[in-house]
Amino acid sequence: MDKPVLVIKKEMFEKLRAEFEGKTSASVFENSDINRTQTIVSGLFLSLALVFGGVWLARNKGKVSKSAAAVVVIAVLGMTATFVTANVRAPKNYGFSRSLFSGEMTTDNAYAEGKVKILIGEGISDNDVELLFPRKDFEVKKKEE
Amino acid sequence: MQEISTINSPRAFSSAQIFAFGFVAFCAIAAFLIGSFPLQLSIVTIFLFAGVHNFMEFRYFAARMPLTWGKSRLFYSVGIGGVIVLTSAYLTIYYGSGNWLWSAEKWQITVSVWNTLFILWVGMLFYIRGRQKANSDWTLAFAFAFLLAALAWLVPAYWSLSLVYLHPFIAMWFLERQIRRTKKEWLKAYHFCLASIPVFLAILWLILANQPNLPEDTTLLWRISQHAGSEILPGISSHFLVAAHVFLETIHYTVWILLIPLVDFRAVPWKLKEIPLFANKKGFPKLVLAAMSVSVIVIFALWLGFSVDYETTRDVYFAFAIAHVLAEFPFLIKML
Repeated sequence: MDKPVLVIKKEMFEKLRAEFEGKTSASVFENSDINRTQTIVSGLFLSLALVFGGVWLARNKGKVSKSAAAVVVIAVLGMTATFVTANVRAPKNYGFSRSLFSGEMTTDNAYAEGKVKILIGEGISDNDVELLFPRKDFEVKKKEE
Repeated sequence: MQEISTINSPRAFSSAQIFAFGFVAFCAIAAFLIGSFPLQLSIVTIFLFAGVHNFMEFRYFAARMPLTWGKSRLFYSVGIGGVIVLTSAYLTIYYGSGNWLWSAEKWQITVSVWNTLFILWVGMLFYIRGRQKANSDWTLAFAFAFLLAALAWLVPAYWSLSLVYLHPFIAMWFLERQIRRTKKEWLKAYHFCLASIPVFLAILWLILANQPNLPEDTTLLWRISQHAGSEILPGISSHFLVAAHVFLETIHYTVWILLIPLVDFRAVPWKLKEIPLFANKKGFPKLVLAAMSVSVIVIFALWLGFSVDYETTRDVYFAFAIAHVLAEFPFLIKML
């Protein structure tokens, strides 16, 4: 094995393909159209909330303590940021690179790039999907570093 | 000698202390029993108290409704109009969906639109109420309304579930406002009682969070677990979810049936002369009497329905119960 291999069991592969092609009754919440509508409408309402909140703050300047206003603004922005980042798609490019085993891989959003073989069949465990790495390649890289 | 006898005499408890002790003791017993038998007590409490507590709410609201609306005309028009429109829309969605005309996407969007209208209606009520108060600007209600509307669109399932769990707290808020008006000496004790509720929920969590899920082998048992959020929160034991829901509902029933009449003389059911719409010369005594009579008949009809077909009656009850959930908002906001 000279490259990483992604082993997908046949049944799992067929199931995934059917889902990608829309052949299954996937949950409505996973449907991209409704997700888009949800995101657009909720974004609109979040914007309106910020506008109305801002106008209120401006109108009540002096009546509201600065710390209370700061807490509200931080809470709203924090919540917005949480939802926005929670909805961000994971990077599409799931390849492998020379930095495959670097420290970057320890963070949740780290990704690598490169070539990977895909094998439909049985792996070495009972898992539906397995990613196998070439051990030799790893050792060489470690020596190079 | 007199001083010594004073020191030795048993200390008399104030009514507020007795109230707080009674409340906490009741919560402790309720939490213990409900934690032990969540499904059974869910069935029993709804059977016994669902209709009765609705009657008591209706009776309380009737006493609070002024004969003439005066400066509050807009507030009551928006409030009562909203209850009628939103209830009709809710029942249409509830009973109209589930057939080939409604795709899952259409249903989801319709529910989100209803949630948005509901939130904006509550925001509007806050705004109108704020306009009735001097030197106050309640336009911030719109900012909060839009924020909540965004949440209702982003996480519709969690939003709906949050309403199920927040509704019991509305009764507690009513009681707080009422105590402020008619039993101020109990306010501190009541705040202590409110603070004890999260403690009981935390104890239920500690004991039940790792318990296996409750059985769902009949439609009724499945509906009870699903109502408490077992499908939306699959990672949490349904034993805890059902127990927490029934615990909060039980407090909610107790507040309406027992505690509010205890602190508000006008809410005692048979004191009809305390209802302006009934007692005033320009009122509508026959209409009030007829409405009260119908409410009492509904209580007995619910008991009969629960006895004959509990599952169907439960579903019908919770569908129509949206009207009382909505009706609470105008009266609560008017008390602020």
